[in-house]
Amino acid sequence: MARTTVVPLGPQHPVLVEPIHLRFEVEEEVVVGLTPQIGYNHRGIEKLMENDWKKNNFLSERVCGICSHQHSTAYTQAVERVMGIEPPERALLIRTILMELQRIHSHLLIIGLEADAIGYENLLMQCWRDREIVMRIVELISGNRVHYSMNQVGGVRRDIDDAKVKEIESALAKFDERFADLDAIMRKDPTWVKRLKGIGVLTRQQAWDLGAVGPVARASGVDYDVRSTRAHPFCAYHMLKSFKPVVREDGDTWSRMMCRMEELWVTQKMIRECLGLLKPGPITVEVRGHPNGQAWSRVEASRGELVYFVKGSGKPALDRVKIRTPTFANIPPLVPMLMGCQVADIPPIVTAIDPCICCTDR
Amino acid sequence: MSMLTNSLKNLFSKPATRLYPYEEADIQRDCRGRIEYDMSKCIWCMMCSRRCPVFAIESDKAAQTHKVFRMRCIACGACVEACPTDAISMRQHYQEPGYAPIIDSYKQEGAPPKPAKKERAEAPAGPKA
Amino acid sequence: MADDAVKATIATWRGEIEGMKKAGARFVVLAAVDHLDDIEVIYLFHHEGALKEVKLMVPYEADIPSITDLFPSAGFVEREMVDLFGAKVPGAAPFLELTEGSGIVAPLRKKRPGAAAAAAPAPAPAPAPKQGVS
Repeated sequence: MARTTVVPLGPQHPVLVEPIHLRFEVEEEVVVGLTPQIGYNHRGIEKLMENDWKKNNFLSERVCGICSHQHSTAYTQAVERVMGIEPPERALLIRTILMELQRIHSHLLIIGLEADAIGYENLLMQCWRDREIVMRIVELISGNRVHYSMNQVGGVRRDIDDAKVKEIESALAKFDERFADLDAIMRKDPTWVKRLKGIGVLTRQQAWDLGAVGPVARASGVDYDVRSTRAHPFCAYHMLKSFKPVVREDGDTWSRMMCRMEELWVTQKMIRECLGLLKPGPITVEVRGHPNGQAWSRVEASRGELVYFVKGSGKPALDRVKIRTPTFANIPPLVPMLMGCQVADIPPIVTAIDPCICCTDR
Repeated sequence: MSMLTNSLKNLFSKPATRLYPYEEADIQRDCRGRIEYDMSKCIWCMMCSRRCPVFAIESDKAAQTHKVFRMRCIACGACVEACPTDAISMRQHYQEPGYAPIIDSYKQEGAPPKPAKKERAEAPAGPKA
Repeated sequence: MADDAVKATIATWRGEIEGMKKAGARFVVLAAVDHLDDIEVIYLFHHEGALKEVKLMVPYEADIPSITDLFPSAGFVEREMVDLFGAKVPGAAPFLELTEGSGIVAPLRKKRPGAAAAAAPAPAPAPAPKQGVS
């Protein structure tokens, strides 16, 4: 009988961007057991959010740097639902444009990191160079490259004028060629395809039972995308015709990355449609009083479904804010994905779920 | 285009990076920077220090001074929006990293101006509790 | 906001959750709200585009059985409820979020069990060995 060795992919590891402890039990080269342990990045944000509901816009952004606007939108939406405020249409469209721009930069980031995890540093640098197009455009729109600080309860804080709309459109035009290149590489490049096809398989039943969200679930055949639930529209997605969720059947690592690549195309079309729908109007409504009541708010972040629960009782301090981030829901599915795989396949599989551990630990 | 063609194209084109700090940083217009006070307009409503999410502004009404901890400021602009007399503005400035905290002090000479009657959501009639 | 909220008692709660499983709903998340001596647990399910809540209010000393036998995706978030609120969930998944023995118990509760509730967050009485750090 073979002996089992314990290999800790510890909080500090060159392939991990953020600290998570994955304790593997390995027999020779094959993984037979896994225990994840989280909590290294816990900053107590849920407790901090109970201080003052007006300042939480900025705090919720800083839960994560890559999906910061999506967190801020989810929080703002939850407070707006508690207080019964409807932001104007132009504000919803601007929020949607920023959410989709954030999705582009997040997907380019993870495609680059996945390339880095398999040693393909050339592709990492290409993806991150293309990401600079998005970073400059959001710096133009919002003033910051990372934490946009564009949301406030009742609308958005800055407007986009016609000159900025033209610059967004020319940036999107640059992506026509860049995305076509990336798509061709991801489908045909032998390094990428041979390394990633067939590893880290998650079946459809496992994805449903273990609560996978986002591209991890959609690559395994579970058609779950918050943007398609028409019963609870959020931002301006109910106005867009070009949205179509991307679902694939295979459930392996290559499918997950292809899911993200195809989402990049859909996102590009959505931003163009939003820009076409912009009409002159106000960008914010006045807000009086304090939130009294509770509400849930769900948003499709780049990694999956992000849920916020806000409960207030009429004071500046809130009673409870609960955040459920997509990576928190995607870590239990790691266990069946990694069973039976080779030790050398661990970095690409772990990186393909798009782990954002600062989101997980808040 | 395959990766090989991509690499050859990159080999013979100019680099995508910028040799900062030897070259100037490329900052877009309307980029956030640091805040500045125009002390002739401040009426001491204290909304700026109350709204700051990181406590980067310390205001002393008796001594008529504002102290801004520049290294704490996250350039969110909440103070700029909260000020009823537009005494604070944000100007574009790329803050270089440094070794020591930078504290900007602003003192108001003489008596503060009378607050004008404006209908703003935070129009103050004196500091609220 | 949810489309449908059901307030359950400890006796009817298990039946509600099993009903959700039979209908094929998907467990999204649970949120625990502190009410000084009681804990209110709100389970959120998603079923064909509609959001349904099941609310349960029990005192902290009561056991809240784990639902991981019906919904395995609840494991992490129940453990988080145990760590941050000090709730009792027999059968919760065994991995830890907060390390034991660090002196911080149930940080999200307003009335901390054991230590003086009115005290400011004081450092743990037996700190880890410090090397001359003031």
